[in-house]
Amino acid sequence: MKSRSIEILRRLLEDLPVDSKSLAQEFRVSQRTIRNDIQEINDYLEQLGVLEIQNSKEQGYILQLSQEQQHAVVKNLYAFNEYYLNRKERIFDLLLTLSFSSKKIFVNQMEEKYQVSKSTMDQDMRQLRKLIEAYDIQAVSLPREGMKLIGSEQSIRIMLFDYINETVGVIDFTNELKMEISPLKRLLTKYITPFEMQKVKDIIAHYICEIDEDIYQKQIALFMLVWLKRLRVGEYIDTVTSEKNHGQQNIAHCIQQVAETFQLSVPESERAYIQFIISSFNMRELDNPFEWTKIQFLTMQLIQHVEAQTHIPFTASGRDLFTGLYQHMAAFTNRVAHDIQIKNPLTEEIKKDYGKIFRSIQSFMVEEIDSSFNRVTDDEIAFLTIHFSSVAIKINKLLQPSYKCVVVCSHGLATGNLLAVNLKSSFPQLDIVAVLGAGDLEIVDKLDVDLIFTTSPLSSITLPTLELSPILNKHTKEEVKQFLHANQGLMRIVSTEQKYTQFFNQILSLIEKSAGNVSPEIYHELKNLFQKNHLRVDMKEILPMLKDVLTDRHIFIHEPCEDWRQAIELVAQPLLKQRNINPEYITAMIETLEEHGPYIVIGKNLALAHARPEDGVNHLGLSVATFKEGVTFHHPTFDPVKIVFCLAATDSYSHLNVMRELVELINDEKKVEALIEADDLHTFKNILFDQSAPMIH
Amino acid sequence: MKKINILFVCGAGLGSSFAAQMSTEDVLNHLGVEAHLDHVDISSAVSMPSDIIITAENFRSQFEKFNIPSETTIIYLNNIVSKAEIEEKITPVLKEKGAL
Repeated sequence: MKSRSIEILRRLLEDLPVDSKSLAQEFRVSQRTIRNDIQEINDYLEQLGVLEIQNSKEQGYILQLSQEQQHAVVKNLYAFNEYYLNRKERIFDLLLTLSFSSKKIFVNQMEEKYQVSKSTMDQDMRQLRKLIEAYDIQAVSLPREGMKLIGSEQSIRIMLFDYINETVGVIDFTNELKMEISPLKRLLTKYITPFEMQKVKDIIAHYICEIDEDIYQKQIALFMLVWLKRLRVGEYIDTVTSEKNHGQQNIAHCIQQVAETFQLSVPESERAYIQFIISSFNMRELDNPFEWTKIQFLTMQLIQHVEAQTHIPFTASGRDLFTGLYQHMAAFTNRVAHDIQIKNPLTEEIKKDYGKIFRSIQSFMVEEIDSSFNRVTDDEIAFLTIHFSSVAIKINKLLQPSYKCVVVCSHGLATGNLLAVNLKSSFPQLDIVAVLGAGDLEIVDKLDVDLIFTTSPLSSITLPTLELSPILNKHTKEEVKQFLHANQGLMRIVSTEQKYTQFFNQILSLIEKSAGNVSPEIYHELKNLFQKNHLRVDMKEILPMLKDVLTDRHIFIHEPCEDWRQAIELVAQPLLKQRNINPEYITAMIETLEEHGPYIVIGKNLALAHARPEDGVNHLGLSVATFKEGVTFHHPTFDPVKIVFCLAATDSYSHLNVMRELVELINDEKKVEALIEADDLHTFKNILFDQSAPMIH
Repeated sequence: MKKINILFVCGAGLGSSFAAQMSTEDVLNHLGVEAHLDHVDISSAVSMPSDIIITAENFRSQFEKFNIPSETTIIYLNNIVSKAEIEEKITPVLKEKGAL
C-alpha cells in the first residue's frame, strides 16, 4: 500500500472525519486520486476479511469495525508498513530519543534509521531547533558525544510536556488500543511504556483524589512521566527551587509511591520541584496571605473586564462565578509563573461558541501589567472561558447573540435600505447599525461593527465582507447564511437586561400615545414591538377568528323561545358557564336594548347581542343560537330574528377578526338562510366556517 | 388635505358600530377616500368631535336630543352593514366636506 493510503487508513481507524475533498487538499492530489486510494484500502481490507469503508454524504468516509477487527487491522498494518515516518513523526521521535534515551545519538545514524537523505534530515533538524528555541533550548552536535539538548532542565521538561501535549493531544492512558493506532502515540509508547503510563496514572488517582477532573489527572500524569524519564537518564534540575513546600501530604505520598514503584532515588530538590508542579495543577486554597489578596484582586479585575466587554452582568451573578474562578485563578497564576500550561481538548469549540468571552479574557491577559500573562496559551484562556460561559448561560437563557453590521450600497440609499430591511427580516440576528453609500466608506472605521454587507466590491476594508446583489433570493440567502456561519466568532452577546429597560419604556410611550384607547394602530405597533424583542405572540389569541372562539359548546340549534329577552338569556348561557361573562352582563344587554331600541339587529334575521366590556366581561367569547320560528326584536325591517349571536368583547379591537367575519356573513343573505335551515350542529358549522359539506354520492 | 373624522355610534360602541365601520371602510377604499374611523357608544359620542357621525336609524330620536355641533353631519342607516346604503348616503356628505 502507498504511504498516503496507510495514512488515510490510520485516520479511519482513529475515527477521525475523513472526506475526499479535504484529503485532496491536504495531500495536494485530486479527489479522484483519493478515491483510488480508498479503493486500494478497500482491497487491502478485503484481504483481511473485514468490512469495507462506507461513504456517506454527510460524514464522508467511515470505517466501522469491532474492537477485535480494529486490533487485527492495526497489527497487520504495522507489520506491512516498513516503518515509514513522516516529518512530524520523525521530529517527534528524534526529540523523544534525545530526551529519554541514554544512548549517544548521531545524525547519520538517524538518517539510516528513518531512511531519509541527509538534506531531509538537515531540514528536520532545522525545524526541531526552531521548535525548541522558544524554550531557550539548543540542539547541538558534539564530535564524540553526539547530539545533545542544551538548556535549563526545567525548560526542557516544560518543552517536552508542551510538545507531547501539542503533538498527540491529551493522552487517554486507559485506552491502549487508541495508543497503538495513532502513529504518534505509538512512537511515544516506545519511550514511555503503557505499563509506566498506567502505573503513574493509578498512583495519582489513588493519592491525589481531590482532583476529580480527569484532565488535571491526565496532565499531572504526563508531567510526572516526563519527570520520571528525565531522572532515569540522569538529568536533574540545576537549581534548588525556592518554593516553599505547601505541605500537601497526599502529593508527597504520591511522589514517594512513584519513586518506590520505579526504584528511583529522588533528591530532595527534585521532590520539592515535582511537589510544586503537581500542586500548581491542582485547584487549591492558598495559604499565603499576600498571594491570597493578589489573586482575589486579579479575579475581580478579570470579571469586571469581561463584564465591560461583553455587557453580561457577571458581577451581579452572585458568588458562584467568583468562587469557582478564584480557585481556578490561584492554580492558574501559579502555572503561569512557572510556564506550565495545561492542554485543553475543547479549546477550538470554546473559541467558536464563546468567542466574545474568549476574546475579552485574551485582551485582559494582554493588558495585564504583569508581562508573564502575555504568554498565556489559548488553552488556558479556554479554561477561564468555561467559568464565565457557564455563568452567562445561567444569567439569562434568553441572551440574544447578534452580529453588528453595516450595509454599503453603491446603487443609492433606497436600495441599501431595501437590502437592510430584507436582510433583517430573513436574519433577525443581524443588528444593522447603518446603511451607507459607497462614498461614506471611511465612516465604517468609526462604527462599532464587525461585518459588512455590500452591493459592490470594496477595497481597503479589513472587516469580513460579503458582496451580494441588493435583491435577496434563495441563493443569496444561502450565501449570507454561510457567511454568518463562517464568522460565528464575531457574534456578540447582548445583555437583555438593557433591552428590557428599553422595551419597558417603549411600552410606556405606546400607552401614552394610545391615551387609553385601543386602536388597530396601537395593536399593530405593540405587535411589532413584541416581535422586535423576540417575544412571540400568538395572534390567534390576540385577534382570534370566528372558529377560534366559536366551539361546539357555543352553538344552539333551533331552540324554542318566547321572546327576545329569553333569546338573549339563552344564547348567553355558554359564555356564562365558561365564565367569559358574569351574570350582570346579560342584564346589561337587555337594559341597553330597552333603552336604545333594537340596534343589535344588524341584518335581516340577524342580531348581535352585546354590552360593554365593563358590564362584566372576563374574556373574549362568542356564542350563537338559531330559532326556527324567529323572535321579534321590534325592528322595523329585519324582524323576525332567527339567528342571535352573543358577543363578549374585552376592548374595542380584539374581536376585530370575529367582527369582519360576521359582517361578511350579514352581507351574504344566502349563507344566513342556509344557517337558519341547518338543523344540526355539523351542518351549521360547515356552512358557517365555509367548509364544503361532505359529498353525497 | 386634512383627514376627515368619522365616528360610528351604537348602544355599546362595540358591535353594530364596529360592523358599520368595517362596511364603511370598504366603501371609502372603493371611493379612494382616506379617513380616520372610530367606533364608540352613544354616551361617549357627544364628547368626541368628528366630521361625520354614522349610526343606526333607531338612534335618531336620541341624537336629536343631543347638542351636536352644526359642522358635524349625522348619517342614519337602516341597514348598518349595507355598503350600498352607506355609499349612497356618504357620497354627498364627503363632497360637501371637500373630501371627495
